[in-house]
Amino acid sequence: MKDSEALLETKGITKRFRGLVAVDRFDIAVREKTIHSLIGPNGAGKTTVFNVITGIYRPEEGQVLFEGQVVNGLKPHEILARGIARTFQNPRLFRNMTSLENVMAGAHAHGRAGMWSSIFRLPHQRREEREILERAEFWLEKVGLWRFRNELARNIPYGAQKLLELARALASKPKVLLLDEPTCGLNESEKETMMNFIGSLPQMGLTILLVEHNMNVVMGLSDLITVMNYGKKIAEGTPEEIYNNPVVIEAYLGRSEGYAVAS
Amino acid sequence: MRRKFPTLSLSRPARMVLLLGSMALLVSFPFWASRYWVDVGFYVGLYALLGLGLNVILGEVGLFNLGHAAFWAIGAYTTAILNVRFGLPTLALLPISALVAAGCAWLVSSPIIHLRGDYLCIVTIALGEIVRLVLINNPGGLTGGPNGVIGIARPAIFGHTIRTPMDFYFLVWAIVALCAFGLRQLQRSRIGRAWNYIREDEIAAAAMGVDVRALKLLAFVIGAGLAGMAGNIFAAKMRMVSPDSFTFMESCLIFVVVLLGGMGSIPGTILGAALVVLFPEIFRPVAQYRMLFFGLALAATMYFRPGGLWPRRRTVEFATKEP
Amino acid sequence: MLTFIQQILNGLTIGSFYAFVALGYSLVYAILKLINFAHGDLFGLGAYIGYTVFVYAFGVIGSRFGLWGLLPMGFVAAAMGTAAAGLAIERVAYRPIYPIGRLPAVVSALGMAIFLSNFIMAVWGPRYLAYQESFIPTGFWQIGDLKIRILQVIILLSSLVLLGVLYFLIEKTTFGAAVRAVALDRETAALMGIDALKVIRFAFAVGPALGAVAGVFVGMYYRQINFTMGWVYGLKAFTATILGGIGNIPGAMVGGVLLGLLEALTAGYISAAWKDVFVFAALMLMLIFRPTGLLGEKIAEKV
Repeated sequence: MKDSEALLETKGITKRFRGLVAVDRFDIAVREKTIHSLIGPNGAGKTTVFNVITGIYRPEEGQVLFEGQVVNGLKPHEILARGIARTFQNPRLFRNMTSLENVMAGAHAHGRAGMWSSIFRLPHQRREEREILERAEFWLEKVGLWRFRNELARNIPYGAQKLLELARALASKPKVLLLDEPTCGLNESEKETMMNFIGSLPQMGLTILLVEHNMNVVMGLSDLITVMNYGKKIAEGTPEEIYNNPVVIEAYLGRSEGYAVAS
Repeated sequence: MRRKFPTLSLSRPARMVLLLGSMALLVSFPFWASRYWVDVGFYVGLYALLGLGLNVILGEVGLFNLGHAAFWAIGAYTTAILNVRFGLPTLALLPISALVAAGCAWLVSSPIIHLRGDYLCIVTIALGEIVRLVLINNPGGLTGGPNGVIGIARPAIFGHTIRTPMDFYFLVWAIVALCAFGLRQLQRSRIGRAWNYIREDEIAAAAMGVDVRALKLLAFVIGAGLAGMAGNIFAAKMRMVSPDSFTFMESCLIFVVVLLGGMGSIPGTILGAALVVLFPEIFRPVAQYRMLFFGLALAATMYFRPGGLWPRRRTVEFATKEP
Repeated sequence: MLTFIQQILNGLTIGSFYAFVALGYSLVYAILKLINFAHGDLFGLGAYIGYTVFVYAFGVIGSRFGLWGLLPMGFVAAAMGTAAAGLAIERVAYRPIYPIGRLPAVVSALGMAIFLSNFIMAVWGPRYLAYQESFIPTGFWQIGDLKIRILQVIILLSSLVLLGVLYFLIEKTTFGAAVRAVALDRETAALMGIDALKVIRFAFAVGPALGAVAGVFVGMYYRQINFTMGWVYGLKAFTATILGGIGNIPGAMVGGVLLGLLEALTAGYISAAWKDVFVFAALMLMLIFRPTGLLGEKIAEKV
């Protein structure tokens, strides 16, 4: 289901690690203001796709296009500046800094103040600092973590850490958000909170590309699902189409004679 | 089980009192202390300046630099050579030495800044040695070889020559105060936070839009600049410079200054400088064995206070919400 | 041509010294990710213990067993004494600090290095001590301009044997596999039933012991020792470790030998004064263009 107006797309990207092909001529097209899920068994290459899109890896072949422009080859911080933000499978927070400082990191890229304006506290720097602080406070509160604002990130509970990483990414005013297993490790009620929060994001103008293992979340949230295995795309479609797709079932469960994926 | 040592947490008014008190002590010190101790006070200031520079590189960004003495040497020799051979006034050479050291840092760090922690450490050690060896080998007759360069003129400001230990004491501490202020402003800015993000997790920082390479370079350049100034002041006080003053051991001492005080902590670094300079003084009665104790003390400090003796407090003042 | 061979010979000899010390660094780093700054001083300690044995026991033992009986005793004493020191340092200054973090451990190592070199100075004095001719093999063969000292031959042969034994131990035996496993992933190795502590103790005994052997050889080769020798050799040996790929044990051997060759050739053909600059510059270039070293390190980061 290709759409020439995809906000974010990859065309035939291939990533090799010394003989191991982690991603094999992979295409995906994410449409604006939708939630697009990327699923597949462990080791299928989903996080590698994320790392290619965000510039951590350079693909051996293929292109990553954002808003129609080629972005593979840019450095990670340049890609963030364009409007693509991400979270990590295991939260990579700034552990010895407070939650608020963590969220402020998201706002870093849109600041302009340099060394001298910071030392002398010039008016435009002070204004910018205030904006950064306000934006960070806004998102910290939006994810419900205001009470942790002065806590060091390493001291807050795991569920809160996942939310904090999300808030940090949101503070960067992204157009596309790449979420890597956001509900992994959360208990049932935390999963629901996270799921509802993510579901509300497209209305705020965001586009989401989601890697998830939890089928409830995937089926419940996605507008479109792409399935990967061994680095290749093996299926793509709406939740209904994917749910009963035998190729998908086989990839997850092995040959199982029409055994449906449990809900 | 490791025992926890009590941390002192002071309120805002208490901190202001402490700050004003120490400043009063600092300013009045040369007037009631003996000449010898004023000299010691100068050295505390000198190592504080060196430590503050390294603190940006090591404390804020987390880059292992064990060759900081090289920047100090570049600053000192720039002053020495330009003053003795070309007649430029010593005080005017203060900013110039800083710029030369910073420029060298920029040139040299660019190709190595991406190296991973331990490798960067070794490269900085190698750089420190290269600088020292080049100075000894006296290329083009510029550096005077093992004997160094002598006859540096005293700096003069508005007609007054800076000559006595008290003069130098005030000079170095004035510079330290200015730098500490500037660094504190930086700490609490977008740049300071970005440095800390890099230290905590470079990849996450880059994913959040931090230009890691540019900021690491900036840290090196600033750190070197401060060391360059220290070099100028040192050269002016000693009236001579020689390669012996800028050994790997010195780089280690400056490293310890930052570690002892607490990474990224400005008051901690100054405290660290005081300890490093005062330690041999206090242990003068057992002069022969004092470095033995120093080595042991280092290991002990790492066990009991790995965060440093005056670690950085992390808070942010709030813009819109009530605390 | 003969000068070239002479330099090669010198380079191999110096390279063996570096290889011995580099091995110690590499072993400890591979297992603990710790740069043991004290290692260079342990090498120095070895040289001093050897000296002490040779000078003071010469009368007693020398008359009984002769020169060739005395020499091995010196080496053994140096190796054992230094191994003991290495184990003590690990127990007292490092083990309590591993759980705290890498940086505190490095600073502690720095502290131990300062302690050790000053300890040597306190016990033996700050002046250069001379290894006397009476217990150094001084014969040599002369082929035209080429001078091959018997001592050099002894050193090279011993190096081959010792390094060969160590290589065999690490690459071909079960215990060696345990060492390599702990180097790759200490936690998992422990879960698989490997006694990580034993491996750590091995590293802190064997590494310094090898360094001590090199130390005694250095004393014999240059005829004098000084309490600062640990820093100088330590630094260069550490660059050899990096050259070969940090944490890579065969790499440390290769790195050491290469460094020695580089140093000798530079000293012989370019300038003795600039040799160290060249060596360090070569190291830097190496790290810029091939940061994983010649034989490559075995560490990767998962994002």
